[in-house]
Amino acid sequence: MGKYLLNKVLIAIATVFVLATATFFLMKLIPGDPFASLKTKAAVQEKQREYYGLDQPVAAQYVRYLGNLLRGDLGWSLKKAGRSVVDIIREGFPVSARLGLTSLFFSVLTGLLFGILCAQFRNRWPDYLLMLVAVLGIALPSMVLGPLMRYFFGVRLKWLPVVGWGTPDKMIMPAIVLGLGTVAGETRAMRASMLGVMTQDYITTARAKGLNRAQVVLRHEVKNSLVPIVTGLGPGIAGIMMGSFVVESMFLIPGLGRYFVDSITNLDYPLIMGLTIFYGAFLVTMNLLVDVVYGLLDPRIRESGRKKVK
Amino acid sequence: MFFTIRRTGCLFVLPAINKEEKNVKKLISLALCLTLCLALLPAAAEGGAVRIAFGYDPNTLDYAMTNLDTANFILAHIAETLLMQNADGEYVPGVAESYEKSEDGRVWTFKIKEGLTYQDGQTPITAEDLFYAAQRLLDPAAPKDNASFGILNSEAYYNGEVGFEEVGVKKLDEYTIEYTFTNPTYESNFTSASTYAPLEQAYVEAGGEIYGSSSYLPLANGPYMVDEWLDDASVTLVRNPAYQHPEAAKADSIEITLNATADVIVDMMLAGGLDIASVQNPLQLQTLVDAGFVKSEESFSSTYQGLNLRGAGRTEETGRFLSNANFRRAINVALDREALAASVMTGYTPNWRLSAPGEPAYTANPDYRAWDTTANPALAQQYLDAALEELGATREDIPVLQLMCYESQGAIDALAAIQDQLRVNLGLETEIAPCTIQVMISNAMSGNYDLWWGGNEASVPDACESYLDGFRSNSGTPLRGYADAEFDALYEAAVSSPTLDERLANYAKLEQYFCENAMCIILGWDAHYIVTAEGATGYYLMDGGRLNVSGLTK
Repeated sequence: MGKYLLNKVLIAIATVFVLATATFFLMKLIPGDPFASLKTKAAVQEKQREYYGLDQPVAAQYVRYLGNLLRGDLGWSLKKAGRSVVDIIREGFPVSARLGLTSLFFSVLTGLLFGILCAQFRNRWPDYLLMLVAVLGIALPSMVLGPLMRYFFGVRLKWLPVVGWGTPDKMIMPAIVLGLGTVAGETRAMRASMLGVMTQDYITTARAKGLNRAQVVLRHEVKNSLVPIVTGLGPGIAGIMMGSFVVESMFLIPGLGRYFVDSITNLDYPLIMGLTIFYGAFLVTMNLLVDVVYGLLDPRIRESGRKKVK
Repeated sequence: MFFTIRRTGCLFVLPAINKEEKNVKKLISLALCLTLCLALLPAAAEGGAVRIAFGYDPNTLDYAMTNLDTANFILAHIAETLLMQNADGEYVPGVAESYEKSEDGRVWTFKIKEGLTYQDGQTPITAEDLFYAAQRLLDPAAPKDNASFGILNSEAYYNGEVGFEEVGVKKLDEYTIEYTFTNPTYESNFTSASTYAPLEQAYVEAGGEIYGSSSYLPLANGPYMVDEWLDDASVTLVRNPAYQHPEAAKADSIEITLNATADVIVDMMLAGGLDIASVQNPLQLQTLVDAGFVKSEESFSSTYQGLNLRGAGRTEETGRFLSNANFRRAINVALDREALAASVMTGYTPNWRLSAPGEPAYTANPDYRAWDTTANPALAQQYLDAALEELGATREDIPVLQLMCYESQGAIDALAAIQDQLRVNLGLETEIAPCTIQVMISNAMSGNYDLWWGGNEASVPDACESYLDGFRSNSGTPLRGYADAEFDALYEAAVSSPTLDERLANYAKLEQYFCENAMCIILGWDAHYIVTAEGATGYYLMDGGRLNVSGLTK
């Protein structure tokens, strides 16, 4: 298992390096100039390019960037004067992660429950009803659902704060809006996986042993249906914890989501690089964790991995 | 006439009351009761918090770097400049106690009030702080966004051609500073925090790279100071205990919500989460008015929206036509500004000249109308025919003009409507080219456009230095692509006018020339309203549409 893990870690590091290199050069291909502005004098823009080393050849900029990266220096934002990229990530990520995890908790729990019920009531009205709810979660984009919820629960009913961050009640609406898409996905995945498991011989054996329905469902069907669900969770967790531009914007949440879009729009090179590397490293780490958990859930995978390493 | 009441040894002597006197007494009693009732009614209260929201994080509060509305709003409350603008629009002493200016308006000497301090109540404000602010702004080794070159020799210093001792900023003594400008200047100039608000050198330098960020806030000397700035979430201003006029700050605090879009601001107002908002969209405005909020008179910010036109064109072929004044005039009158404002330019008022109502340049020449706000296809065709004759060309020779814009749906919709109007009213073919904001700005700066959908900011007292500057032959950028000696001469006459009256008179000629030659196709003025709860008073708009809520009571 140790060698298996070491192998995975080395691949993860190489992946992040390739990602950083590719992003750096692709970023430089984006047309435009981060300092181009109608408000700033042309002479000042020229000095700013010099100050940030953007007048140097791209290769020289790349070498300097890698050197700084190895020292853990991701640079300074070009647009948010006085703020380092590390600071922006350090302040924004916990907010997005908290919202994401809350949303994930809600959506996975709801999705699994819906999926189990759908499978148990296959092709009957509860199945149709829950699938309809789940599909609506995907069909209704957050940019539609968010303002509707904000208006009804915040403005009309005054049950929840309209926008903001910092208290648990401010997290309810954004977590639901952010998680509804995942609910739909989890419901469909759990339903399909469970239907597959329900036809397996070992389920028939369990029933033949005299286990009641609840025992069969909980001990055998649900547990064995979780493997594909866990597989999808790794990238899902990484994605949802990195924040959402739309949800964070409509509920005024000071997370990272906004920066993923704004940094590119503003051509804030250090921020684009910092966020990409951070997201890439986080995604790779989550996938690594999933590999480990996957192995724990299914001994066949663990064994095959061991053989491969040998 | 008199009667007496005896009571345990005391003698009360009261006048006998006739009917008329009784009525008077009743009236007095009624008045007293009314007074009491009025006193019990809720009155406009001082103190408490004023809550407001803006669309962006300020990004920085470094006076030399701020360029967003949010930051400008905050600076208007925390940074006292040499002169300030009051609610009546007058320029009154701020940090300055008095000032003198030379006859030609180029040399300004300010005497700074003694005994002023920053928010800590200890660090004194002296001429050194203003000298340092100017020096720092113009430091080429650490370039600042707001660096400008109005002060004598400042551009030469920036380019390394002279030392700072040659620049027109002189500290005459501890409390006297003198500025010398290349062109005459006016009171409004000294309300700009980027150059004319004091900075304490030791404090700024201790902050280094992070000065002005949420981790190292500026030292305030205005009515408020920053208490807390949560990046991308909120900024809270509280009263500055060391401010020279403590009575000017009516509210205990100003709570600013950041990154709020227009629809979020409306929802927050409806839910009671905001006290004041600037609203542009007519539908959102109506929603708030229907809900009982009070709107101000229409006011115009300093933005002109429309089609920027490059006189030299994007290519030689398009430049051949766009450099012709009659061709530009044809485009200008072929567009129906009222139809555009009613459909794809909501929030803009159709314009009939460059300067917007409320600007000093407009007020100085209020009767001028350069064009109708509706389309005039017949006149447009006449202009086009005249242009073709001058150019020796036919309608088939006219190239497809490019309409560049930011890739937002709103901008694309606006250009689609313009495209239709140009096709129907003039027979001109155009193509829409949406691009990212940075690409759009780069193209604009390098002159790579024919017609570009965008806004332009004016300045006080007129649009010369911030906007019309780019139309000069020697503006230093290919942005507008004009080489018009007559325009250059009119521009020079305006900016070198020694008095404001003369400047505005000269500006009127410049504006007329600009409009009649359709050097840019301005289609609307950015109109907005201030919305408050009923009874809120005491806010006002300063130059450039900056809102000041120091005196707000609700």
